[in-house]
Amino acid sequence: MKILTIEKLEVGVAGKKILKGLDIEINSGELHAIMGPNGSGKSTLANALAGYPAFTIISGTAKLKGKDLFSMSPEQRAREGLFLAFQYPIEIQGVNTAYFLKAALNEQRKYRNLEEIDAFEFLEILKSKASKLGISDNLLNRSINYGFSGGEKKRLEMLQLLLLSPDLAILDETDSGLDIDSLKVIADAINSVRSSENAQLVITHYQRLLDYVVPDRVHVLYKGRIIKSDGPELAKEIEKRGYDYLINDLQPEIEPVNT
Amino acid sequence: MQDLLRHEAINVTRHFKQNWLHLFHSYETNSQLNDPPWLLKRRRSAFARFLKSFPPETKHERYKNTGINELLETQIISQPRVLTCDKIKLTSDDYSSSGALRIVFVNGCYNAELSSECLNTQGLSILPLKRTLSSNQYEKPIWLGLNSAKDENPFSQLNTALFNDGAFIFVGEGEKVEQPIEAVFLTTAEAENSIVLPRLLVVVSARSSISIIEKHISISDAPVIEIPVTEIIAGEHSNIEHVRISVGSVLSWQIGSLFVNQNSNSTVRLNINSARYKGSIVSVSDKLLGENASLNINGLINGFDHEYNSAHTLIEHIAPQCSSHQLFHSLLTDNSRGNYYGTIQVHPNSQKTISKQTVRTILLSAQASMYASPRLMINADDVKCSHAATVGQISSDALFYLRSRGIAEKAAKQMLIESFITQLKEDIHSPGLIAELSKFHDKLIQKFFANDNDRKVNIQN
Repeated sequence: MKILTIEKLEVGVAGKKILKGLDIEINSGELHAIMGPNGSGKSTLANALAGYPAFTIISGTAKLKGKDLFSMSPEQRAREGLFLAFQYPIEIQGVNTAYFLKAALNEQRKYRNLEEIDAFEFLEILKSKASKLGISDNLLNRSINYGFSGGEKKRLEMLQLLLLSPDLAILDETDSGLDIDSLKVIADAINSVRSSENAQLVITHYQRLLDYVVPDRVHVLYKGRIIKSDGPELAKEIEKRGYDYLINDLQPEIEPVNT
Repeated sequence: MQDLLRHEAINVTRHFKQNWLHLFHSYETNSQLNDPPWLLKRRRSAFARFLKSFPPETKHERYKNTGINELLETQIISQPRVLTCDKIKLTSDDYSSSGALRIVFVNGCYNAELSSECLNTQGLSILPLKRTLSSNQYEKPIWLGLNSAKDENPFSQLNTALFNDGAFIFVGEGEKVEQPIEAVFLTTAEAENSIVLPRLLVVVSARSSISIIEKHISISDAPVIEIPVTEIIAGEHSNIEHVRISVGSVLSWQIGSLFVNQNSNSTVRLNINSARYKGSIVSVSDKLLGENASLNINGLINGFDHEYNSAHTLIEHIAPQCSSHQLFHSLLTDNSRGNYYGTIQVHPNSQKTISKQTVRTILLSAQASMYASPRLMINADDVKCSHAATVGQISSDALFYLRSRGIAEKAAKQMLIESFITQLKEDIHSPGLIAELSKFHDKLIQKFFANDNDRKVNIQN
């Protein structure tokens, strides 16, 4: 089953085109990695798929399990099974983390005609999943991400991944800024949700995470286009040689000439 | 033409003052209060100050966005009237309270029917002021009007000059009063086109603690100007929590003042709220007189329609090693206007002062506006003082984060607004006070998210 199908996608922000015709197809059971140097458009892709209002879809389509993503609000996308783990999770002072997680889970369950989970049952589920990630009860009783360390923020994103078990998880540089122990915790979480029913799109700068989370396919994004797609060995090659060898192979873009 | 206009303006001002003078004289000659001589003296001096400072300098930045000019143009100001207690029919069945210890005033006059039984013990007294003033053996209310005596705000002076009655709460040395005490001030239709002058005096002796809820509630839509004054004396090592909730009506105004004197090692936590007035200004003036005193003020400025809602603070660090923290959140929608004008004044020798003031504003409509002016006046060199003010809209990043988890836009906004408001109660510890605040917050949040037709949600009790 096709989980995500992106065709000829062009996305802009503040009048500037960032993604310039992008095609990706991810089937159920697959984990794809998108790599690329800074400014290549990786986060733009993640945020555009999740529906961040600042990004404008110029042309192209994206379908989640055959449904048009761009006609949906961000909350509809989430309810349809899309999850974005933020590169920079937002701090929201005053909103209790556990309260927010329960609201999110129940909103999604309601949409799928499942019974809402009561507070008692929810806490049981939450605590068991949180302990796997080394998240303390104390953290869950604080405001969302407020005053959390970088590692704690990323773990909370993973907790949401475990809790919401989405059909498509997009992980936007979840590995950035993590020490090796935290990286392993994050990788374990990603591996634990992988199944033949769902898919993951992992965005990363480095090979490091892919040592623990083995992708089925690796795409290299550069200046808004996929310049190469291959198996997991591509990530290793990039680690060894950098992006330059791929970039140097490219034909120079032909600038239109005004006459 | 210009001269003619100026001449007219002076005449009008004079005319108002004559009316006020007349009001004070008739009040004085009536001498219905049987005031002790010291109080009569204070009333006279307060009235003299009122005449000197009224009308206030409306162009001053403290009055920007407050609607003060609209207030001064009302008929109640030009033809002032204060109800006398003997004329008030005490028939306020509309109000019920769960508070076991409460003292209730209707249009500024004591209502025994609605109040719990008066208490007059060594440890705790809850009494109408008038009763304590008329019995000469009772010297405790001597504090009355002392805090406010030099206030430049004409409205607080007016209250001292003309108030009928008020609540007097006294806590003896070393008393820990567990149960919250309610002081309730109702305004009814009978006070239409009048000025209501409620008074609350709280004296907390050394090493005592108390939690108080002060409520001002309009139970009619009649145009009324309520000018309440609260004075709090915090003894050494005392601990006071004071929540003030005012709920007015579309044509009513409230110009309130709160004066606090803090002795050494006292802890005072204030929580200031008002809603639904045509206009309201609450001025808090706190003097940290003794070492190691600490003050915390949280306040909510909010507005709908064409309402004005303002908070003014003056925190004077007079003794060393005191701390004061202010957190004001402002939430304005429609065409409402908000104002925060706050000053922290660190006197010379008040070393090791820690003082912070924070004002955060969320504007929910393009027409709403907030004027925030946090000010620091520091005359000591070893202090930590800071101030900050932000004005913005609901954070689009926070909104997107919540929505990206499947929470609908409206619910996400509600969650953010709710957290913005409810953060303000975090410093209050008394469960009874928290419950009252939560009740007020819930109704306010409900109103912010109601459809236009449902906007008339009753946020009274």
